[in-house]
Amino acid sequence: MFTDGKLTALRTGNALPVLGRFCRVLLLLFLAQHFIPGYADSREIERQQNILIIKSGTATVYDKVVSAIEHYIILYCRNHPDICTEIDITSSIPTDLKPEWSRHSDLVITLGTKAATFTRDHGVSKKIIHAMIPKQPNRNSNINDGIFQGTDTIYLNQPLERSLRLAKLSTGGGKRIGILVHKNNGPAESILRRSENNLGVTITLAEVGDSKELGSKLGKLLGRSDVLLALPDANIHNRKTISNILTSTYRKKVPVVGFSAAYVKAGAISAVHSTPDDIARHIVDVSASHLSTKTDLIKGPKYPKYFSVSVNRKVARSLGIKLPSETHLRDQISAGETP
Amino acid sequence: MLPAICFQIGNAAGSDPISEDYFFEELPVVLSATRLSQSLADTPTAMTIIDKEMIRASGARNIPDLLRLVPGFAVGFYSGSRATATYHGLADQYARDMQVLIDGRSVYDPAFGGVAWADMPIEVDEIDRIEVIRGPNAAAYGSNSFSGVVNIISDHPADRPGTMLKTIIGEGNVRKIYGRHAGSVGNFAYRLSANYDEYDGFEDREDSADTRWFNFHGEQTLDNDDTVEFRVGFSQGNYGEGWSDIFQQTRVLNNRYNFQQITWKHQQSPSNEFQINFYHNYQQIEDSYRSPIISDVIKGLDDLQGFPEPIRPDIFALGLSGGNYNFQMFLDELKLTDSPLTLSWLGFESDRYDLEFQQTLQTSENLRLVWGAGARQDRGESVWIFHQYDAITRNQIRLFANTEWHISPAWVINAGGMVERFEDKDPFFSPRLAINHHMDQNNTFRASASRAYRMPTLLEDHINLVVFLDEPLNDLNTWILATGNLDPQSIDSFELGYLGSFPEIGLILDLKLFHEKINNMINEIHNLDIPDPDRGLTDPIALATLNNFNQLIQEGAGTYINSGEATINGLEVNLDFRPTPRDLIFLGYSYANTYGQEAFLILDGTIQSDNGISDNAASHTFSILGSHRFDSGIQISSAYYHVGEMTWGGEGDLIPTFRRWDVRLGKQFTLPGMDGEIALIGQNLNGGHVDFFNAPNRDLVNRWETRFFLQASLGFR
Repeated sequence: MFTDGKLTALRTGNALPVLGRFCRVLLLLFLAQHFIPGYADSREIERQQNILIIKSGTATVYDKVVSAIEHYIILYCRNHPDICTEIDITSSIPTDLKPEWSRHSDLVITLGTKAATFTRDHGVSKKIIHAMIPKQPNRNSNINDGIFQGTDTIYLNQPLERSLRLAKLSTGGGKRIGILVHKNNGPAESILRRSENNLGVTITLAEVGDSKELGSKLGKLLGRSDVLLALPDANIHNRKTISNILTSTYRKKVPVVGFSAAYVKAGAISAVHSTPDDIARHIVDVSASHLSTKTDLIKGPKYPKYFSVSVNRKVARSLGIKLPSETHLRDQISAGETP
Repeated sequence: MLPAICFQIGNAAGSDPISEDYFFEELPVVLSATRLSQSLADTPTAMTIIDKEMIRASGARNIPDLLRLVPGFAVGFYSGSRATATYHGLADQYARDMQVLIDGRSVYDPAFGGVAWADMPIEVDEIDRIEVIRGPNAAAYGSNSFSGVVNIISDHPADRPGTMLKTIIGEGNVRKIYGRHAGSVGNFAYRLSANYDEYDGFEDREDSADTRWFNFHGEQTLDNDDTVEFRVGFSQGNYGEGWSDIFQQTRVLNNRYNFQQITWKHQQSPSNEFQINFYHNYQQIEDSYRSPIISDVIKGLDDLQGFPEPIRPDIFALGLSGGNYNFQMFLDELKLTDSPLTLSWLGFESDRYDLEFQQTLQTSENLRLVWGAGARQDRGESVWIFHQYDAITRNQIRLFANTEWHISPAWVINAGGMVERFEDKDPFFSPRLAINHHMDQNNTFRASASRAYRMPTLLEDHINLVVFLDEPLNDLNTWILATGNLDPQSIDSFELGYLGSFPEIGLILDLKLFHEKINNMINEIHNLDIPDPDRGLTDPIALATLNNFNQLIQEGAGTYINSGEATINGLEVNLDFRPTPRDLIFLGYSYANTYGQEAFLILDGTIQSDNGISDNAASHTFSILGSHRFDSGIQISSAYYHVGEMTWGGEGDLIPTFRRWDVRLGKQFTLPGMDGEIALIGQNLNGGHVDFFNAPNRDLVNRWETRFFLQASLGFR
């Protein structure tokens, strides 16, 4: 049913195919119009609403998020026929955008930093959602702050307390959480102390200045930790260091809690992270608020509302740590979070 | 084992921004199923793990002292620095029934058996942990993993980079200095360490010792899938030995030891890994001594002190020859010279070359398989022990497989076995089967059965220890003689165990009920039927006189035979309690009821046995270690060890109940760029207990006295 890159259909399935670089979705709410008695007559048909999703690149993960957004928009609209009538969703990378794209869009969703920066450079600041934004670890100068203040922004990073909760649950009973941070980065002291009080844990930070220090700092930290929590910081955790960090911790029988599904696959015991599906659900939640009102609801950056937990059962088994199911862990973490 | 070398972090300035790719990029699988070890709850046998915390808290200066913590272990120091360690007793100076591995390298000596602990170039401070498998494990580690396996794992170089100096001084003339440097260059991580030790040993013995050693461990990470590890080390030590006895006179042994090891590990995929390991151990003990010349020995005999010294040799000769020979005739007719008697108890050289291939496969989600094949050559050389200048060698090949099958989350089966074929021996198979049931996340029950073998050592199979006259191969008296090709002794072991793991309160409790049956035991016995060399004599008077002379030295000879059996039933408790990170309590207890029959004498072709074996193992062992660390960095710890009355085999004696109390007081401190610790260690605070030798009639009693040591260490970052 593709016609010139345009898909005109109402998707109802859960498994959505990954779309190409440029595609559009027109949602004709014929269910509402044809199967709800009197629906078409009872309300005035509003004009079509256009949503533009700008992707930062061609990586598969963006397409997965786009597909999931479409899916959840359809679900949302099916349940809210009074808000959604006819929605047209277009996704594109910046270089493929047609002229005057911003004027024809009722809502713009950017995925990733590059797309967000692109919209800023084009002066778009209303009715816009920035998603998949990595929160930089540098506590003194967040390079993204300027772009995202005053706009609906959803970070990729998880809130610290959420990660800490999982770390506590992944120790098999221990309460000492160790975190490696770069000397310029890491969470603020006040946040750490508050988390310690909230969660009943002890957090030890080991500041690393240069590469020579990482081994010794990690060694000492492991002696005082029941679990090592890896926070997103490319200076500490990267492809070059992951092998050493995972093997050193494993030798000391200390589990590592990561920040991505890949980290778990590599050898971390668990990780809390947002999947494309989680990201899309949050985007659609925010989109709904934009669609339901003509005024902008400016809220600022926020952490992902939805998240998943991954567990490496083999590592857990080898460390002698029994972990409940991923769903149960996620529910335990959610239960501890203030709504 | 695991590829980990140097750490490279991205940007020293700390300004690397992260992109969304960072959260979704694929990463190499580091901890694949094949590289993961078993958790305690899944292991088929009871284990005791001695980790760094316990090592530090114990104040132990050597590995045998650490093994005192393990339930069922008895440690005997037969001289101040040289020890034997055994699980469930039935051992002498050379505990031959236990496998000991250091970083995957068997340090069991092929010639004598046992482990020359003092010669091992490793410092307790660089041990990451000691995993003691309490029970046979030949299915995984091969023959000699008979009563247990001591698996010593050293620190990885990348884990403790920097330079460290440590020194100990104290009573008993303890002087020690140890230095270590670890670091990395590119993808190559290394550790160099060197040590010098000296110690006066027991109060009333001439057993002072000095040892020096060097050790190197390097690991080259080729890529994410390949690592090569290199290890080399050597040691040289001088050990006072012997006592006031014509055939065990005090002397100094010169020991040399070195090893080389190379291991290549390759990860074909996350579910398929193999490794090739090769090592060589070399041990040399120079121990030969010459008595005074025969006439001077005679002049010193107690029974002849009533005669004028110049005529004592003639009186002696007349007595032995029925009045036929004076001393000169005695020498001439017996083809003797007035020379020293020469002998060696220990002098030998041994080599072990070992090559092993091992593959680990995760064949399905719940099934893991380790299989491999190996080949080994053991070599012993000693004219003193084997009565020949040529070396004796023995080759072995082996094939093994072990599986870990998680039938369900609650049930785990460990099954495996090893087939070994030794040169000139029948092949044998050592199987093991165990099932573990996880009642819940805290409680596991296990049941296991296994069979293991202990091969006779080269010495037991080939010894021909002779008292020579003046020079080797000028035979005078046969002391110990191998009389047949021995079979391996076997053990059948059955174990019911419980493991309670309560991480919330820091408690791990292991209980073990066991039944062990040892068959076909290799016994050292005295065979009065073994004649001494006739020195080519044909004259009946000369032969009779020579025979009388030899009977004064020793009648008959020692030998080794397969005879006897032993049954050991008992229970063991292993408790590790760490309620807070600052507190540690470790407790070990064992009860063992040992009984059976063993041979001790052959006379007129008849083997005589008795049930004295029940005395060769302690009925009870108990150890407790406690430690607390204060905010100030002060740590106080104390250990108490108890081993019930037992008789050591070989030359050892009946030792009354052994009780030892140690205390350690340490203070850690940090200075700019460095950190360190000062500790005061008091050992044997209850004083005066006896160890291994307890023979006042031989003027030979090993008595420990209370001793204090001061230890200081400084680490530079």
